[in-house]
Amino acid sequence: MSTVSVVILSFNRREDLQDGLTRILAERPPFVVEVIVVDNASHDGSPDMVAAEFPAVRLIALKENIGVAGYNRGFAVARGEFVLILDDDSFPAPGVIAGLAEAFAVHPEAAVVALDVRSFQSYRENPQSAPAAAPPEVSYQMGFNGAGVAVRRSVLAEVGGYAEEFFLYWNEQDLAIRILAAGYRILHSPTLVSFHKNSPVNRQARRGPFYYTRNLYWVLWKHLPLPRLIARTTGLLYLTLVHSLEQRTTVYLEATWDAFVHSAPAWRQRKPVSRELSAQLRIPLQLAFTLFR
Amino acid sequence: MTRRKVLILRSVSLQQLDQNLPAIQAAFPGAEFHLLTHPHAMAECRKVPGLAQVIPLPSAAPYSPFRLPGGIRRQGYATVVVPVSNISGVGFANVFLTALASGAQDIYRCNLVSEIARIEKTALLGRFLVSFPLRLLALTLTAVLTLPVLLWMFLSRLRSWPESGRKDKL
Repeated sequence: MSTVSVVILSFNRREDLQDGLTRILAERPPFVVEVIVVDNASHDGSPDMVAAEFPAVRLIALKENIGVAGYNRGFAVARGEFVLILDDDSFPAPGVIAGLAEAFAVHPEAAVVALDVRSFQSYRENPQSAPAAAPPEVSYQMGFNGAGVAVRRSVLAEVGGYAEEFFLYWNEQDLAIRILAAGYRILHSPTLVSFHKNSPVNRQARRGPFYYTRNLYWVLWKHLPLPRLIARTTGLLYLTLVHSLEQRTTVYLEATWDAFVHSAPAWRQRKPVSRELSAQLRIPLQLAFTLFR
Repeated sequence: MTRRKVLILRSVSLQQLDQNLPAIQAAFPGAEFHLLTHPHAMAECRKVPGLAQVIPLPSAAPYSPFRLPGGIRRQGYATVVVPVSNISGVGFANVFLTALASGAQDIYRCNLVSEIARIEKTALLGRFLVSFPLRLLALTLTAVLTLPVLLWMFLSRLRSWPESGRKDKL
């Protein structure tokens, strides 16, 4: 059986983190070699809570909030054959970790097993609906949700972790593209579920639209072949202008400006994917403009 | 007696659908619920309890009134519900226009916090007409800006771009 490291990034969600760790550790199968919590300088006592209540958990308490780069600190010390990535407000359904290990064993071509990330509300209303380690009915996808996904550690070592300059949002799609371009596949099983609390805490009105817009430009510039890059950048510029006018906000323009001014890392890392892969990618430009107000 | 048929146009996340669906079902008691979604989300959506039918869009492209599956109009939906991932529904114009094109009698919006509100078709059309000059202005600005933006990209970065492409093992 494959060994598993669970890596959780935490920021100011002490109660949710406590609940998630309790659930994970309650059923901790023997092949889960470690649970790592990387705390992004929370100021609600999260690191103290982890240290006091979960001594078996490996805590990495950072001195500043470095966004999704915190995950990379966890990946760097993980020892399991695959890494189960969770948010501080998400947890896998009972039996799912065992199902993941089995899915990796049955599908050696898969570098990633993406969980079906559902609302915690659906779990609260009907906890029995959470599937155990059922034989996965699988499909292959072009992305994953970072609130419940397992990645082979060897693949993370090969393609790198999350893009640190992104800070937040689109980091999963960026990593997914690098994994796909390296020739690996992303397996999705709707029978393997994680639940996400989607807490309103920490959600600032401008932060979502800003990072979603800025990072979307960078995803296009890092990965798309030139003709598609030009077409999609032009399309995104048009949507930026339309939604700035319609929604009467400057947040999208600020994000676009920031994308251009701080674009150097995106160009440095640019490795255009093949036209075939580019045609299969789903990068919905509209998404960035649906989160404000 | 025929049950009222309600079509939900899903463009939000499955997590939000999980949260919205109980409120939508409560707002239309006794109705039969159908869900329109992108093809890649069919397997997950089929798991959602309380849906009589899950209907795929023809492609993974964004919602458009010109890309409605053929049978939607013939179904004669009484109501279409558009879940939106914010409070006001801004940014979902294409989904609301698709709702208009469905031929349903009534259109409702279900927002991030599951508040359900009826949207007048005339208001939707009015909003679209008002936004038309803004879209024209944005199109003009895009045309004006695109060349300098591309030139800037080329002059500052292009020479160092690796354009050979990766050998993806698909």
